[in-house]
Amino acid sequence: MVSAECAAHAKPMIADPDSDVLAALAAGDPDGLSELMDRHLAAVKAVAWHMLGDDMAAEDVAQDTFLKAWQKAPSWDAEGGAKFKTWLVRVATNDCLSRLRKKSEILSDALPEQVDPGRGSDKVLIDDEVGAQVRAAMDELPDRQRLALTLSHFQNLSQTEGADILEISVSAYESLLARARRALRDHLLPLKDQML
Amino acid sequence: MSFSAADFIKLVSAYGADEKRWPEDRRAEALAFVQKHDTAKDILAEHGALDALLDTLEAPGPSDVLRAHISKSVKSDIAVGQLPASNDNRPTGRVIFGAMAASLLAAFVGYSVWQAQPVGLPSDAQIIASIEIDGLSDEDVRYYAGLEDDSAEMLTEEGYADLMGVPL
Repeated sequence: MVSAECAAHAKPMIADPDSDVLAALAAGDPDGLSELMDRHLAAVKAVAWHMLGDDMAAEDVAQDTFLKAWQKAPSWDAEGGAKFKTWLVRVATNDCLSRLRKKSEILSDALPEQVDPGRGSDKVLIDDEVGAQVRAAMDELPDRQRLALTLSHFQNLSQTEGADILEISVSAYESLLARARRALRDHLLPLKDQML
Repeated sequence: MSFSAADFIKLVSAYGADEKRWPEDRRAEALAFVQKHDTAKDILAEHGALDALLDTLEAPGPSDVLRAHISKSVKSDIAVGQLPASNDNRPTGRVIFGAMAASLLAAFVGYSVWQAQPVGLPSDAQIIASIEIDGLSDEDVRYYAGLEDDSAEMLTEEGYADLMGVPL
């Protein structure tokens, strides 16, 4: 029997909005996967695209994520209160971070010379398109800052969901966001009159 | 505790000017703060400009090819018998890792026992290793390892002792 005190402190269990799809997948219903893609494929691909800046790589990440989801869904255990969508985004973001790390290792092996600090700025000045300039500024952010900004600004995830995905505290998540936005403001706002 | 200017700046610096991204538990206080302070409106305007720039970065949607690839991959997994986790009774990665760890532990224990044997009494492994080094045939190796019957050609007792470097 649960005491009144325990009940008062218990974390409220919120039903996962994807529980119906998870049940369909567990039952082997082929429409389950299609429904899951309808709900979350665009978001997962967008996260990967904002992180990697490459459409083909983003589709690779999305494909890998959904294959893992198909494997995971029948045994999904939401006892901790985690949503399946949060798990999906975490899988995608971990894949992105892994790809970025490997890419960075390859580049550092291939280009041992000093990187020209003006290279990024030159690229921004050459590009006319606003999106390209914003993209370049995003690409210069450290990976985890870019990820926090992607989750908050582009995915509109709550601070607890974003912090859960990054496996950090809410205050650490807010710190990443603030540093990311500060860097972007310093980089982009001087150019905003030209851009907008 | 009242909502201060520092709280407002911290909030907007992290989440930008759009209130829908602000944490729910601080949203009402932040909105009330904006109503009271013109400077807060200026700060919001600056962050709003950055938000507008970020909003120009629109991710392309998933292609039909991507959806088709995912569906095809799942179907091919089903075709080769790779079932989703709840229906799959094959050993999971954790089980396989456990079995490998147990094998390594057994090998370590075996090695430790072998190492602890007295110097004058060579183990089967030492005998086999010594014989292999001496270039004897497979049949001899199997014999000295106790794997062969007496039909294999035998060394004399003295010859064996000489071969192994141990006293009779």
